[in-house]
Amino acid sequence: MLQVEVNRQDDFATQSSLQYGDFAMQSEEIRVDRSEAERTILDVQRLRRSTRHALNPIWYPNIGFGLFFIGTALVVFLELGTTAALAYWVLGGTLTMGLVVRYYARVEEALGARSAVFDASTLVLLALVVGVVAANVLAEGDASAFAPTYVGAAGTLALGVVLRDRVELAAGLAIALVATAVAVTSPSEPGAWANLGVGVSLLVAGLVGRERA
Amino acid sequence: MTHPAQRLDDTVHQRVRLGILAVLTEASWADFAYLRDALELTDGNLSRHIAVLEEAGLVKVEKGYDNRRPRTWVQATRAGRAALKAELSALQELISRVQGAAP
Repeated sequence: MLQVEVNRQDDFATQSSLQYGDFAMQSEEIRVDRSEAERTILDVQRLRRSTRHALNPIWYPNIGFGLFFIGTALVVFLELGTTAALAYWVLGGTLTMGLVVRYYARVEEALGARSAVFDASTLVLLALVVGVVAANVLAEGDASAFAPTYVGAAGTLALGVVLRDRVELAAGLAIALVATAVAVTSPSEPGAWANLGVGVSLLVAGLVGRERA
Repeated sequence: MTHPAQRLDDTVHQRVRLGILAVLTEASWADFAYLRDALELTDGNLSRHIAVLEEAGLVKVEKGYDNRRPRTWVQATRAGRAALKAELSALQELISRVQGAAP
């Protein structure tokens, strides 16, 4: 592992029984194989990253929720009415969430490993959902279209940081751009355009992530 | 303040055991086969290292059945997670010291 070469001397320091007691000597004759230590740290980081990615196939919820948000926009553009929109949100949202939970469970079963119930990504996801709902309830006027989208962008960026996933980070930036575009241009159906932008961003991120997985 | 070299733990400071703890800090549980495949080890080699970690209280092992198939589940204990963190911190500090001492 970490290799140390010492030009042995009959002094106190080299009599240490500690495996790495030699480090205590400030002699210029000590040579530490630094690259080996660095490689060890990198190996550990690589293992942790690959385990994290294996247990968090984020591309799947990206595709699922991407399609869900695109569907949300279509319901508005097709003028199917408030009841249909509400039914779509409840049924579509529940179905999408159910599919994601089932997929994660199947992945864990196939791998033979389970992610922590309250790991960082789950907590970020919960905060994201609560934040988006709160922004929907609290925002008024035009802000009700882009405020939840900004919250969604922040949550997606946070997920990208937690999972150290560049595709997710890019999706977060794309969603922030969508929110800004909606805020600046104020289109006729701002909520629908925001949902369409979010949906396309997530769908693309999901497809790219699936290719890379 | 102790020299970082003195904080390196013989039990943890071993490539395979570091690998086991690294995987188990990201997964709440992992079964024997997952660890074996992820770390590219033989059954015997992995068993031996898990036993060392279990004896040190760094991992918890549970044996059971899943659809009549015998399975061994391994989990890092709180002490195991802390030990990995301390090990990486000590290694990082050692590297920094060497870098600082370099002409």
